[in-house]
Amino acid sequence: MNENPINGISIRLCVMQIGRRLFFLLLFALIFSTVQVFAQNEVNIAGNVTDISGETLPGVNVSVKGTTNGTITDIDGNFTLTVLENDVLVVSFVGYKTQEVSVNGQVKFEIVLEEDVTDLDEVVVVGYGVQKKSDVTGAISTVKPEELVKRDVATVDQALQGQMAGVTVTQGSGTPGESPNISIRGLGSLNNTSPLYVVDGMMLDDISHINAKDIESLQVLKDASASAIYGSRGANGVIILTTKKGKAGQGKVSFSGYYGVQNFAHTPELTTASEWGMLNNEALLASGQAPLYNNPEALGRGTDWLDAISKKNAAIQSYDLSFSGGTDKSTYFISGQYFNQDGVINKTNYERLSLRVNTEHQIKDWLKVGENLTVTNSSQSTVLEGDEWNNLLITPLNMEPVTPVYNEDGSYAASKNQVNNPVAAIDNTFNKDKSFRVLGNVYADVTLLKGLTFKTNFGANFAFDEGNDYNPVYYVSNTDKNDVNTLFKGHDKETSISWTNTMNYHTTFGENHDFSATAGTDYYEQKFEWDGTTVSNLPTDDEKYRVIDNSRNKKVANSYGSFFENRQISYLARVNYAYNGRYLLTANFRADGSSKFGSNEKWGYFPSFSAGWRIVEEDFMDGVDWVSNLKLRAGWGQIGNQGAIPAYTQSTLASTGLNYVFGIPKSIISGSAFQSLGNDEVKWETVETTNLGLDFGFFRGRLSGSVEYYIKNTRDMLLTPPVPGQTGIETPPWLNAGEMKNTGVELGLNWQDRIGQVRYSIGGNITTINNEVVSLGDASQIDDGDFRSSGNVNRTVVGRPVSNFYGLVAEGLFQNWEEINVYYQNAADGVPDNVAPGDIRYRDADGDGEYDYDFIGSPIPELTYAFNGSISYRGFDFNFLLNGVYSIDVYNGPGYYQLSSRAYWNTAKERLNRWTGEGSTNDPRNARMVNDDSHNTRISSRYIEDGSYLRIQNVQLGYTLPESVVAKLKLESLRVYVSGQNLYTFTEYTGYDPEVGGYGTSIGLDRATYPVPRTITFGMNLSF
Amino acid sequence: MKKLNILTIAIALITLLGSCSQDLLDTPAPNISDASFFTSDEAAYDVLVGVYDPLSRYNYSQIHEWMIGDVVSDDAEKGGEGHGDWAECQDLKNFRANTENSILLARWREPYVGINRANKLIEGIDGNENISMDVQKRYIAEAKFLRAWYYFHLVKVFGGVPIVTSVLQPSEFTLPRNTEAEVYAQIEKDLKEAAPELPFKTEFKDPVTLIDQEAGRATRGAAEAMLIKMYVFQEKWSEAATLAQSFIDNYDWYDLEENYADVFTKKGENGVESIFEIQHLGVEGDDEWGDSNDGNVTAIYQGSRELYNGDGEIVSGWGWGFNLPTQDLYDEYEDGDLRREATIIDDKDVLWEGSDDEEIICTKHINSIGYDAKVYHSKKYYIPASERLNMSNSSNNWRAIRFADVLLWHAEANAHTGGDWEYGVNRVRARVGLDPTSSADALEAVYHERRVELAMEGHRYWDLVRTGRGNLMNGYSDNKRLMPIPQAEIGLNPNLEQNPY
Repeated sequence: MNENPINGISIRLCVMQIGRRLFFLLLFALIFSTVQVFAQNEVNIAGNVTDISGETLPGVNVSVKGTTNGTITDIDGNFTLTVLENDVLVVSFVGYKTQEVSVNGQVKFEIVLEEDVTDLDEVVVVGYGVQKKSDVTGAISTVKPEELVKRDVATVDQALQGQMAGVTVTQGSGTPGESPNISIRGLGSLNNTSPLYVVDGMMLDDISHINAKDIESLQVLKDASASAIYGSRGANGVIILTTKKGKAGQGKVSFSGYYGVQNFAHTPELTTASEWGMLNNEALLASGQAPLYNNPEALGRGTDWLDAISKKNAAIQSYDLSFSGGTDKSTYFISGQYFNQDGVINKTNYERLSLRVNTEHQIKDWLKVGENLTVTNSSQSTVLEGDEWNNLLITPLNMEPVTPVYNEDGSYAASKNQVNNPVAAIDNTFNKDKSFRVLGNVYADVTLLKGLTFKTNFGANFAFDEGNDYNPVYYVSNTDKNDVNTLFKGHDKETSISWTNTMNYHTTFGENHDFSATAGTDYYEQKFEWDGTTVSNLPTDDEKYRVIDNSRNKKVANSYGSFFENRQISYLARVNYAYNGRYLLTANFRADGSSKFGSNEKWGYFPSFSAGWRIVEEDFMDGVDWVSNLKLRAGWGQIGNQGAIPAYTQSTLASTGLNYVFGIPKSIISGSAFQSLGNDEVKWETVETTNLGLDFGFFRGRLSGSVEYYIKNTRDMLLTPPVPGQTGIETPPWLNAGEMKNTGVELGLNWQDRIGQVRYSIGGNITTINNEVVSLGDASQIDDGDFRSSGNVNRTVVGRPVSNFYGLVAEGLFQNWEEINVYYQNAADGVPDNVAPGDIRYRDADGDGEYDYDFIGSPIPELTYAFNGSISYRGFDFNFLLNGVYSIDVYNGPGYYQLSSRAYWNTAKERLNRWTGEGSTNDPRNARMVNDDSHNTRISSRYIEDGSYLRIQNVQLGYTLPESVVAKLKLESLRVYVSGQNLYTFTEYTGYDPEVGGYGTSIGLDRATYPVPRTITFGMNLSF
Repeated sequence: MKKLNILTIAIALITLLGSCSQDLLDTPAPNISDASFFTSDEAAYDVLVGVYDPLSRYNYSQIHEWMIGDVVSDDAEKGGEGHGDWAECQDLKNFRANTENSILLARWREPYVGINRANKLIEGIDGNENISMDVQKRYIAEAKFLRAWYYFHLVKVFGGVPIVTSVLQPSEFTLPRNTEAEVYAQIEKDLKEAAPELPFKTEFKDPVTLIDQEAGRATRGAAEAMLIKMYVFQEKWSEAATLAQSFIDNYDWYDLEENYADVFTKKGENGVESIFEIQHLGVEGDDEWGDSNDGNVTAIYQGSRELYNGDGEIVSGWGWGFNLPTQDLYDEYEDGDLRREATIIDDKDVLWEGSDDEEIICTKHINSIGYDAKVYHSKKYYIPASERLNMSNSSNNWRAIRFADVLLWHAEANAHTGGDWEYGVNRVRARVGLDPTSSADALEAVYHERRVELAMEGHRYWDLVRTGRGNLMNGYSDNKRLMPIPQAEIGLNPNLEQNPY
């Protein structure tokens, strides 16, 4: 066979590419592979595999169950194999339902594979139970675990990007270990919009510690009729993960690993030293000052500061080993993963080690018990990010290129313009957060009577986090220094416990009636404790001695610590009824009690109803062969939301630490005040969703998909709307004040087919988002997104989406004095001193000299979309995923510096096209050079940019070795691949990355966001 | 049978939670609520300190007093990195502020924080039997002094504002503005009620240990000086003259520092000339910013942006170079007036010569950012390197009211009433070795003396406005006497009427 040489080349290539560590693991795997012993009577069998239409299927896997013995069909669909008389053949092929055929002494087989395109019999995990996909009436999306593991990224939530309609994943910061923002169906609230995660029945706020390779299934409940069973925590949608269990049969060892490199795909284009020097001279000259650089040409390229603090090829690696198997009575799944990602910016890193043990035991015929346990240890190193003054992504843009990194004597060079030397800043950053988590649950399923089962599930989540921060003494200049070393140690501990008891009943009666019911209780308790201490003045900066006890002032340390606790009790019930497989009804009800609410408002009651009509089952659809699936769904429900509100807002509480100074000598005296205002009437925020959906499959399922329309109204929205200043209240009370409306259409489409031996699929999804604030209670506006202490960039008002950009409208540039004089002719105060031709003309509709403030952009996209495709031929497979966002604005905060008229900070390359005289340009981004830039740097549409993008999110090329070859290696399967993440982004945005993120009432303000890196990885998956 | 038992257990489990549910939903907070806070004198003291706390806020006394008092006036330019740095302050200076101005928003909100805390304290302890009588009297007096203080900081910027003297219920959140006269009347009432209950500054020092644990707290002297100031601002000249006379005659523990420059150094802090100071104390190693510590940010704001090193090369300074004295102020000083050198720093001036703190000031940057005339660095809040801590963490106090101010109010009031205006003027002149004033025009003499004596201490803008000399400032006109009320506040309280501006 001709596969051998290819195989050899692949392995060699693979070894070279993935490095020595992987090679050893591969060896390890081979050593442990078992050698089969043949003892029974062997028979030689032969057969042929076709699809329903009679077409032969080449490349089909035919293997003996529970062994590594197997083959694939040839080009005519034929196979031969030596088996034992009692063996069971497993016939499988991508896109077809797997079939098992007992040998039973036969020697000739005609096997017909059914296409598995609609997945109608697939089981979907819904809250507190499972349902056949065909019976589902709510809006539920499923992501296949194999799609998740295709993405070589740190966390499961990152891998969700672009996978489903209606689920928007925004990465925000590309710092290793940072979780993205996820929102399902728009922004349901001004506060907390994160979905609820349910991992093996345990409710969690974040899943960054879950190993994607441990996931058996992942469902997203998008509408109220699906998520209402989670009541108060389901308002933002629910992501349900189930981790893998072992399967009865021979044990299986799986290994997967990858190694790759990362770098920045795009960074802002800046001027070189000579260009900058020239612009700087021009600005000074325009202000009547002497230029600083006699010969800018001679300055050359200068220092590339971003280059000086970043890596060309930052490593990313992941190794995962799992063992699974079991008997009819007991199964096990044990896995371990090591993940390590260096950031492209120096000194950023994320490292994680996780272990999992899942077991399940049928103790009695009526009693099954099991547990899932995972332990994760992770650490994250970060640099200053997110502040627009000194963060380590903005200072390398601002630092003037004429300054070298180091002086001739080797000391750090100081900026001429009070920018902190980024290299010195990074060298002196020692910032590491460590986290240790234990997440586990034990459960028992009891069959009480036929059709009646009882399940109890006890879950616990312990998270211990430790923050470490050390600032050594250093000196670059009088403004870039640290005179006294400081050490911070912080700890927090989260303990949450849940206990769920459910009773399930299922019965059928008559010929066509199918009825099931679930009722149960749920108890959830969360306690969060934290403390931290900062000490200073350690005798040495030596890394070995960074403990609090070494501080000379530990007795007067700066410390903090407290806790909060909240509890929730719930009663839940669900009824499903199906008639004749055509008409489906689901009703959910949940009552939630939460400790967070006022004494008379603790309980909320949340109903939902949904119905489905499987049109395809109707008699009149008989003979309509091209329709394989058609189902209409409608649902309505109300869910509560309490995620945003912290504990203890019911009463007015004292805060300490509001100190003042008295005495000679002075000392700090502790003071207290009541900064907030309690509200004992605060109650549940309610989200009401109406959903209409149509699922379809045409042409034998080649074309499948679904389209959904939803209306999501949030009432009694929990808000802390600002109160008038004259109240003196610093922290406004929580009120059920606002209303918000989200509507949207979601379309998911998939086409799959094959041409000869080439199978392919192409799909995509589109989500429209239409977000509108309906009420803010008494408040007329909520301003947020302060930039450089110079005012807010975001304004939320009724009748618009949340978090609009608000500011002046930069219309163009004044071309001459005549224009200026006309413009200001009616201005009470005349022409401002600092305005001259080449400066920005802001809109002033009534010509009174007061510039018009207006809404100048929206950070809420109109559309998010994704395309994906795959193609496979024999052992080769190729996949891609593109995702995009359309019609979204970003406020380019760093533009304050890089578009400045002064060329004081390093400057965007586009400023070379600045206004140089009448008619040269009318682009308000390119005002004249001048030292007084205050007229041009106001919050205005000048800094608003189109943030639309289309990103090549993932491309992967893999090769699965043929069974025959793999069998010789005593393996079950072996696949090698090369994969690229975030390869290229098509965008007009000039900053680092248009995926800016943000939440609540401050979205889309770029303060120089750590971009998501481009990653190329080489990996392999094998099992035996 | 067995299965039936299990069914029973299961039902029991499901019902179990129901029976104890209500209790589980009551989770007590780790902080004490207002309902049960005022149980002792000590608890009341904590809240009293909390009423003082806003005095030293970053967005209030730390920058506003000079950002408006000096920068907006003809004494100073804004400075900093350039015009775009705190552009909203430049807008104020150009009298082109709009209602989105964040300085004005903070200026509106922060004093009310102090007012609310004062109201909360008064309501919490007045007539509360857990609090001893002495403590009630003194703390309520201090709260009233501070409430008056905060109202003055509102009225001098915005004119009439809503008067709030109790903790508001939500239905009272949108009270309209009172008149300017009503606000001054409220301030006078509070000060008059407070003064007799407050201790004298001399009572702070323990007669045995000589330790002063209370410096910085409100005194009777501070309340009366403030009352004189209120009379001056309302042009109640005879009341001002009378009270100032009695102050000078009776409170002989207040005097001028011998050496003018000492007033602003560590030595002069809470010294003989000090009537009321905003207290600051930095802690070594504290790298917090703004209100997260008790230090003063004024020092780094006004510090020199550039210095000369020993070789005469320009190196980065330690400060941000805001609040730059103008040539116009420089020229106001008579030849030989020592106060100029104590107020203004010129290029190549050597400070703390010969000591470890020695540094040579460079004003090149601040003179390169586009001002029409020469600017200087400000000296009064310029502290030596050995006293500088991180960022907002310097320990120097803000001199809010000093005895020289009282002397010059005395002079100004008497200039209006026909009394002895020369006493105050000549006393401050004598301290710096200047001859008695030769001016025949009493008001001109007082105005000149106030300008040079109190320059760069955050008084000039209000002095010009209240005396009708606003037109000395570029862009000023009478409708700019009061600053615009922030749109955000009008949005929250539509009953607020906007100022003409």
